[in-house]
Amino acid sequence: MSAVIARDIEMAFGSNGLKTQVLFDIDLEIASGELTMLVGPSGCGKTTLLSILSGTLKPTGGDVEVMGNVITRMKDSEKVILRRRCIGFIFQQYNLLPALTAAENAAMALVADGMPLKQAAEKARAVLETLGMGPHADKLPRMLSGGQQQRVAIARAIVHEPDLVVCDEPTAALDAETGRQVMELLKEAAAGPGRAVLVVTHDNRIYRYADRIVAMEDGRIVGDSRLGTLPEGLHAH
Amino acid sequence: MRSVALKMLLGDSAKYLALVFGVAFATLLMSQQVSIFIGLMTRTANQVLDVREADIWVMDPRVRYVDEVEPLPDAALGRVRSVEGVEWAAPLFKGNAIFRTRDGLINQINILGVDDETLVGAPRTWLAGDLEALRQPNSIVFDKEGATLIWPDDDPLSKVGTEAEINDRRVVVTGIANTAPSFITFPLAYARYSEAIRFTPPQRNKMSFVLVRARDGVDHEALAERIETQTGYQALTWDSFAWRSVQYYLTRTGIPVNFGITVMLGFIVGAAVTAQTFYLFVIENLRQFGALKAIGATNGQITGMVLLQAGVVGLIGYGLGMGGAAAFFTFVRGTAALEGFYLPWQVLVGTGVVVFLIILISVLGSLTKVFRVDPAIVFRG
Repeated sequence: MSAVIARDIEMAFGSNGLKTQVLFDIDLEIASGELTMLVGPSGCGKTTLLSILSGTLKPTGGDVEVMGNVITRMKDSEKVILRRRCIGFIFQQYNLLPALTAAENAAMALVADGMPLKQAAEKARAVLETLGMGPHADKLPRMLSGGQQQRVAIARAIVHEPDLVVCDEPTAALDAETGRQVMELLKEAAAGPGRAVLVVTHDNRIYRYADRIVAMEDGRIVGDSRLGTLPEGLHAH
Repeated sequence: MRSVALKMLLGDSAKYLALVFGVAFATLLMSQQVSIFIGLMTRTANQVLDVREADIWVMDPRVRYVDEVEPLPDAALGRVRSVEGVEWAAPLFKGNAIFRTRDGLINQINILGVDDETLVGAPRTWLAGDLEALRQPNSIVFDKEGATLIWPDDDPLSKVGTEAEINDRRVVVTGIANTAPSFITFPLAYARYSEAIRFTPPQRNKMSFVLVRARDGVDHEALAERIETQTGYQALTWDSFAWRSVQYYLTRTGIPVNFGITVMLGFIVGAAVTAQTFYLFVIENLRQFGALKAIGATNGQITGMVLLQAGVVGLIGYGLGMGGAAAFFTFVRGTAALEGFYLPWQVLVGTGVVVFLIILISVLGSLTKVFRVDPAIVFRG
């Protein structure tokens, strides 16, 4: 089953006179149960595509379907609810709330859906345990290392058991070893039957964790390969 | 999301304190200055407000406020008494004199001469002596603040029995009373009417005001009009005369402008500090709000969070500022310069409304940014 289906996606920024087209006619399907990596050089449009596929940015053309819902035709309020319940987010800069503990941060998707913070934090604590973060559940983000913060972000992305997890450069701010650990956890905890994981990265050290790699260049998909083989022109670390 | 909002607010203690300080400062400055202004303006009318027995004050038509005296002829008293609806009418002298102590020190004083028989207009709260003290020959009674001004190093109550001179006439301090402080800072002395006109330099007319009590059931405004029509003098109900005295100072002096500038500065500084700090607080959290929006928080939830944060800051800041103002007035209660000043409930309410507006402006400025923040902001490095 496809978790995400994108058809004829076009994206341009700016007004008529200074319009910059960044995505051209993108067609893409992301299957559930797979970890898909969207790779390519900086500025090729992969983060823009990720934003569109996760419903945080509206494309100038084309349609996106997430778990059977055509999000490009949804109202903003409907998209918010879809994101809250069906999508988990992992950001490059973690974006943890500095005043909340690790457990409270991990609980945010549940809190946004109306669960009281205390109850949600208890549930998040269990997820943190599975990620080896149990002893750090009551610590504030400033007391955690980058790798630990990214684990909290992973917990936040999966605590509400979403159908799709999107990750933007999850290892960009981490050293090689920590990046490896985070990817293993991500593969273990986030990917699974019925859940699609979409990772945007240009870190070739983590390509080996992908079930599928989609390569982009200049706003177009230029390669698509599966099970450890790389699209032409890409090199694993 | 409420607990998240509170944790976000309290988690950044430096900004939280700056926000609370901004609101507290604005509250303190505005409430304290407005209260002092009201206290000061009330002082201009205190000599009228203190004479609670009189319903109507009769005076020369040219008099504009209580400290401006144009004496009436003695016959005025009889003419006023003859007006239908007057229960009684009593003379009141108001004038200045030089008070000379035994050791040669001189002080300009303000004398109120009250009716010899009824003592209408005499003080009601006595710290030493009593009303009968005024009936003694050559007696003079000072208010406590006045006695303190004349004898700053001594206990004013110990001055009962002290002999002195007014215009080369012997007087004896027979009592010390507590009166509402007046705007003019001369020591205030009370004497019987007959003594007061003897203590002061001679002039053709000496009766400053006629104090009138209306018969039961008689409308004060109507009686004042009748007195004016029948006597040709100016007659004002006590509250009209008090308000007219306040208005004189409001319109003829720079006091309201100066206080207005201070209050406005308090508003501007408080609003600027609060609005700017709150705006910066929200702007610096914009990425976090963006992350919350990406995760699935609605604009309504985030608006609720910002409003809660603003409400908490506003309430605590207002409470601290008002507490500071109340503490100030409690602390200065005993000092002569600020005697009688207090924090009226109307100032509490008014300042609360203004603080609410400051917070509202701050929130509105910040919320537009929050509404516009694109959840995709979190994907930009």
